[in-house]
Amino acid sequence: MEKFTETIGLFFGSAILIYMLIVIFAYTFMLVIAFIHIRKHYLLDKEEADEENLSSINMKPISIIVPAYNEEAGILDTVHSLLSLRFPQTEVIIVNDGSTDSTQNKLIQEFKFLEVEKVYRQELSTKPVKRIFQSAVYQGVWLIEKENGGKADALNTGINFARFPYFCSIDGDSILNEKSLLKVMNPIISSDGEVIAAGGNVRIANGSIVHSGTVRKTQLAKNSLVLMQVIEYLRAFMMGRISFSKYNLVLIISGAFSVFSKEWTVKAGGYAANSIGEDMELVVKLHRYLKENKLKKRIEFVPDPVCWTEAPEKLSILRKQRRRWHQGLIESLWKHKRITLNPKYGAIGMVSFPYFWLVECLGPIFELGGYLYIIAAFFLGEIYFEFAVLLALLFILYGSVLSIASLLLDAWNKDVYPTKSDLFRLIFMSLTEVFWYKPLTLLWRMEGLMFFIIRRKEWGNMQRIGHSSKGQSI
Amino acid sequence: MFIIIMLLVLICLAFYIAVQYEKKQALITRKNEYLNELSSVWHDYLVKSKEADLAKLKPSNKEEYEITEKILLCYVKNLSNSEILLKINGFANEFLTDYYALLLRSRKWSLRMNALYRTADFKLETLIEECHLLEQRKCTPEEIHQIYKIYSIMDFDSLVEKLQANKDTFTEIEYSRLLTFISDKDLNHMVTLFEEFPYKCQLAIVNALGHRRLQEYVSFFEKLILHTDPEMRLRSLKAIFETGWVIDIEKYLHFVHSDIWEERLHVTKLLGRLPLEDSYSYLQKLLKDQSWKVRSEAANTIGKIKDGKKMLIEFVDTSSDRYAIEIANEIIRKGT
Repeated sequence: MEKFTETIGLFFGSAILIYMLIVIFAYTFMLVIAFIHIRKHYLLDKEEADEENLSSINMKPISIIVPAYNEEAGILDTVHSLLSLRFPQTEVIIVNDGSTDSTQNKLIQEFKFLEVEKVYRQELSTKPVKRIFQSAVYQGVWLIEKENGGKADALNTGINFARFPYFCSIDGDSILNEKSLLKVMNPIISSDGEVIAAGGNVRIANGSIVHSGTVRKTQLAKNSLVLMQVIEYLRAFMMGRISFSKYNLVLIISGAFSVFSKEWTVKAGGYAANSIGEDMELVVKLHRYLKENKLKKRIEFVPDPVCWTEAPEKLSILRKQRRRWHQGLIESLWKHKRITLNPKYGAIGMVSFPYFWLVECLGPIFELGGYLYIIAAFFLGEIYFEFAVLLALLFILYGSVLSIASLLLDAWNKDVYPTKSDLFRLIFMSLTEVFWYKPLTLLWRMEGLMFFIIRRKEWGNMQRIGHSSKGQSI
Repeated sequence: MFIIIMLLVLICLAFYIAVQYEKKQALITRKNEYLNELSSVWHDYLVKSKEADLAKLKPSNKEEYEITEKILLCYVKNLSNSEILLKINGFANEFLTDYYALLLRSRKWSLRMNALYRTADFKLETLIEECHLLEQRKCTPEEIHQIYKIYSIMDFDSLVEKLQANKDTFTEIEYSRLLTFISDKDLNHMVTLFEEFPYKCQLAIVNALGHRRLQEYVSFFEKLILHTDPEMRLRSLKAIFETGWVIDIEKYLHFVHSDIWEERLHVTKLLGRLPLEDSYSYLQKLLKDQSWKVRSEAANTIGKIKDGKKMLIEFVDTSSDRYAIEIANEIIRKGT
């Protein structure tokens, strides 16, 4: 019996160990790819390319869609930031998805919206639109009031209403840099339509000074939870998306800031209204449509453009967000499971899907298993103890060392956090990640997995604080 | 052990980066001081036309080169005064050539690219030969494009020769970017050689002519609207619209019945150039088009023509096409 228990124990230990080694290898590989990319562009004068794109003959117009549900805290900053964008031609479509707070009133007051009658083409089915407003101050700014149907439904309404061939989806709590749109459109424009969607880099704005829709000064937040999210975002964008984009393997481009071709989005069926992770779902649908129709198109991630977003500052809100993200991820993977290891879908089927299943979806099971194994091993025999030490070290390598490496790569690349103390604060926080933040996020992701299994749908209300200091924009 | 070594290496790297931060801060301070000192001298020389000892303004180290570049670039990008640009061009050709020549020979791609940007910005004719040499070495597509851009500004003959010789080197937008810097006279020369350029370059030429609203090319476009390639026909229709030319309706009537909705859309726009009595029968047909975009454009076009709204009201009263009525109603309500 003892022999049997030992064999079982060693089996689980080995499985977790092998899993961790695979994940660490994959992340290190991605980090190297990101490093090569960043090193090539490190000293390049990036302003020059933007200047060329500013000419209207070279640029396609964009419809910017802002789905808003109870976004009274940050919506004005978001719209102001969109109005200050440097881009030849845009229209802004704010879709009020049945807000119950003062989102709409604030918008009407600030931008002098007047009700208009407007006919548009309903290419995607959505919940009914109640009223359409046009700003009396900015002719290209529209407000659509509709019945509540969720973010995906609001985005689909915006797509139906959009006049231009490309649309940019942006969250109601996000702020763009003035050149963000120019930069994210660059691969689309330069590729003669081969790139049909592009997502930008997203950073956390908590702690920074925001005024009239512009990030005036970037500062690190004091809240440890926010700091951990800063590290997490940086790591995800630095390691995952740069390298995945290089090989057209991107499955997630952030809903907080991304540009899509309207034509291809409509052909793929638009956003899935009942999906909990609508941004990933759309990208997967697009990839699937392209592969099934044998079309040579790409979806890219652009590391430069910065979209500032608000991160949750409370554990309870972060928990809901992470649970929702994970549930959305699994939903998409499950819905399109036939892509997995299916050569018909090329690298998406053979690399992206297996990676997302193994590392992103099942990660919490293996990693939490690892944590439990380490704890249990200290009370069991000698062999287990050695295993536990090895596993613990791998967790540190995975959780902290790779985070620090991403931080340093970013710090080397640009002076986003230009003080020494900020850099060392982030490094210190990275070292603590495996002890508190990682287990928490794993538990929340497990919860998302459970919600998926029991088919429970709960979006969770994201409470916003807003970027601006009181009395500025609000 | 491996992890401890990794951690130690990363901590050392962190200290290295922190030191670099300090150095960077000190450098920024030094640069700002130099910038303050220099910018007023340059302003006096360039804008107020005061005398200046250019040899003294010549940068002597990397930092000074960078600051001088920053100041001059600011004038080049934001001013179109030919006298000022000529002064900058003269100074750059005399004192900055060696610096950029060195960068053009750098092993780092980003530095070579920056030097190519500046060669174009400051119109450094002295570096054209260096660009030819760089082109013969192993270049990235981005470098090739920048070199062609330089030719488009300062060595037009080379550009034409390269474009004729290299088929499908660039995307259409890249061809468009090259044409941005070409004078109307050189563009005219390209039109005479139109057939010899790659297809995407031809599309870019038509776009550029339309964008510049050059009416003298309408007969050229009118030949292209009979082209076998639908994209070429579309671009030509679009270019004719952009020139603001009043069309001879007979040449365009077949587009009203085209199988391609984009062609019907463009001809709808063009019909707006004619008096309503000449165009209404066609616009009325287009108002009931199977494509929503064409119907919408037709309503818009009628709405913009004198007495158009009256026609739309009549149309609404007599038509049974629900979508066409909706669109017509929207236009009628506008401005009422």
